[in-house]
Amino acid sequence: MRAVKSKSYRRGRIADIQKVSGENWLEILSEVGRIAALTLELETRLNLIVELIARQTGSDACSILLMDEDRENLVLKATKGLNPMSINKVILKAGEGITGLTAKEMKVIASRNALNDPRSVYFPETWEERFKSVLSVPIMDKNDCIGVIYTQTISEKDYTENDIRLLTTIANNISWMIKNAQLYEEARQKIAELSILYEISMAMQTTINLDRLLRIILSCVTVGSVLGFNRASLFLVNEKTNTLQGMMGLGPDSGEDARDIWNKLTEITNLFQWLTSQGEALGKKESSFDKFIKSTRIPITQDSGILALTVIEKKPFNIKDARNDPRVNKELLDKLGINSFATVPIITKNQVLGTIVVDNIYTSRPIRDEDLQSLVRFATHAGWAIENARLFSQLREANKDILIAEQQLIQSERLSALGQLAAELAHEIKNPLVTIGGFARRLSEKTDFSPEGKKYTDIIISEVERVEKLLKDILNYSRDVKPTFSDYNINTLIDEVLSSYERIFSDSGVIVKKELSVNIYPLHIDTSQIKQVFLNILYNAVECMTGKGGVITIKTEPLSGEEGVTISISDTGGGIPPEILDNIFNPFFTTKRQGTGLGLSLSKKIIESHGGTIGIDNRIGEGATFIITLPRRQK
Amino acid sequence: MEKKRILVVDDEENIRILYSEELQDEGYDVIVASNADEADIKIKESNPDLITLDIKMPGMDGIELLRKLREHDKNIPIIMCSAYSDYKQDFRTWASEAYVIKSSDMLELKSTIREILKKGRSRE
Repeated sequence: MRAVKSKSYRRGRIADIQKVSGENWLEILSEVGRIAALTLELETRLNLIVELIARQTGSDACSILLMDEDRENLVLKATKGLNPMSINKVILKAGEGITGLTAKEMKVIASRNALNDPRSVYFPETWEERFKSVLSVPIMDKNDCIGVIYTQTISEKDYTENDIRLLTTIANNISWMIKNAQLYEEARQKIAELSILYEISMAMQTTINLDRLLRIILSCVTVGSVLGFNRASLFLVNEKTNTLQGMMGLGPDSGEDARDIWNKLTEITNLFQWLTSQGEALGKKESSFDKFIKSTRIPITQDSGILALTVIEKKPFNIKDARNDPRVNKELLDKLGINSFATVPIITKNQVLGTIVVDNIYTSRPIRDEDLQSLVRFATHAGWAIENARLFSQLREANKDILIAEQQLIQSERLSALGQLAAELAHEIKNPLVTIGGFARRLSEKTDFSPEGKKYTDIIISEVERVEKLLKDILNYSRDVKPTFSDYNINTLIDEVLSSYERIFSDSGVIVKKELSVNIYPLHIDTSQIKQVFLNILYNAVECMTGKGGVITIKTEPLSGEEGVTISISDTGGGIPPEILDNIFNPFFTTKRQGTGLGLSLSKKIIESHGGTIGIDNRIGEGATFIITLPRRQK
Repeated sequence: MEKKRILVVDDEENIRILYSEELQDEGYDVIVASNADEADIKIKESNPDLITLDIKMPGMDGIELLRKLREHDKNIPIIMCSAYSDYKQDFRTWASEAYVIKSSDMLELKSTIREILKKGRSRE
């Protein structure tokens, strides 16, 4: 270096050299020390340092490049004299350019005319074309180069031994300052992340409502200061169908929306409050992204794409080039409109609950592995919260079932108490009724009444008969029906019932059609009870067709799937009005002035005590079909 | 031919009146009792051909009385007469000849009595 020095230069710069020698050195170094005492923040430290050095060495520019975390690239971190906008933008590989070479070879490089130096690489955004000379010194931490500090001058300059020693000494002195500022930064980030995780888990504990919880979770994933992904969606495993079910998607629909939202996010001062308020925001306008996610179902199989793989392999995926990744489901990719995304499994107790999918569709910021690590940590918390919410909702369902069962029990107890009361009442009424009716009959037989007298006693007799029938129905209903079973051919039974009703059919103008299957087993039934059922249904059918005429069709066919018979009885009476359809099997419900309302409810009770079912196919305007199934044997 | 004698046992006076009048019209000699003790006395006094027996009565009920009567006399025809149909299932009533549910229409009771007495005569 000394060889390139010229006499004229030496003369001109005497004062400068003196300035930086002796006490001035000490002054500079003590100023560097003061900077260290002033602040712990890396950025501020670096800015103060470059300013100090530019000033004290009479350079037109001083800048610091630091190695990134992967120890691959140098990034411009602070500058005095270059375009400040290029900070963090200038990135060069070790070995690239004079500064890159400094870092790679860990040695000082001084260049009088860097513009003509073949080792130079220029970054136009730094506006450094105007600088001629450069002195570049590695910043060493033990045997590692952690960065480069370099000064530049507009006029050509021969660097003296003194210049080089000064900058090297400064570099050695700021090395520990950079190092501990970096450690401080890291620690601060860890603390920030921990406190955020703490706030998030507190927020997640504010609700056990699954929908609100999912919204809080996804808000955490997308909020700028936390994980800061552009969009996040959550899928849960549906064990019954073995699919991943889209539960919720959170993210702006467009870049503009995104800016609006992010501007709002900068105003968040209390994360906890904001997150819990996101839970409340449910039901607000849903984004089309959310709609898309909610409509998505993915089978959990090896060939269904990354989301399914995340669940199957229980590990996160950071997909950087999705188009060319054979594991990615291209259809889903097109809908999402992205080329890179990441997925993490939500795991509790070794069970995969689902997956969170994130992307940076608007900022295109690459997802770093450490982002993914934070997301994995977060997903664990989310998993516990989801598990809690699920358990709670299961508990709530179970509780609801118990309540319903309890209601039914109370209802059936009431009914049975009512039944007993009805039975007792019926008996108390029965005896006087027998005497009233009995004597009315005697009166009618013995006395030579006027036509009015005869009419009146006949009314008494028929009304008493009506009440007696009502009592008989009630007593039959309230009594437990215990069938006495025997094997019987249901077709024969139907024939018997129909023949005893023959006159009523012809009087009412009703035609009866039989479609009885010969391929049916004899049934193990209480014939008198089943007869009662047929009579009840036929009675209703005839009544709704009286005067108009109509057709009753009785059909028997083998029960499909098991041994037994299906019996259908259809009429053409116009069907049952929908408003009463729900009630027809309820005890004491009737539309008939003469009826007790017990016929159909009793029929239902009988069929059920035979292990069968009774239902209605109601066609308004046409007619109703009662469909009865009876197993060959009651189970 | 001598009139057949029927004992009507029922705690309700109006039923007793109704039954005796209806059965007298049928050509029977009718005696009545309002409870089990009275029935016991009447049976010894008048030796009836048939008994109609109410079930629910204060004191000894019809079923108990039926059991007692059957201990002494296995052959006297007894018809259980009740407002309840439930006792039909009670096997203790099966010791009776018939079970008729009370009704203002006496046709069933009358025809049952007729049939039982006819059978009895053919058996004799």
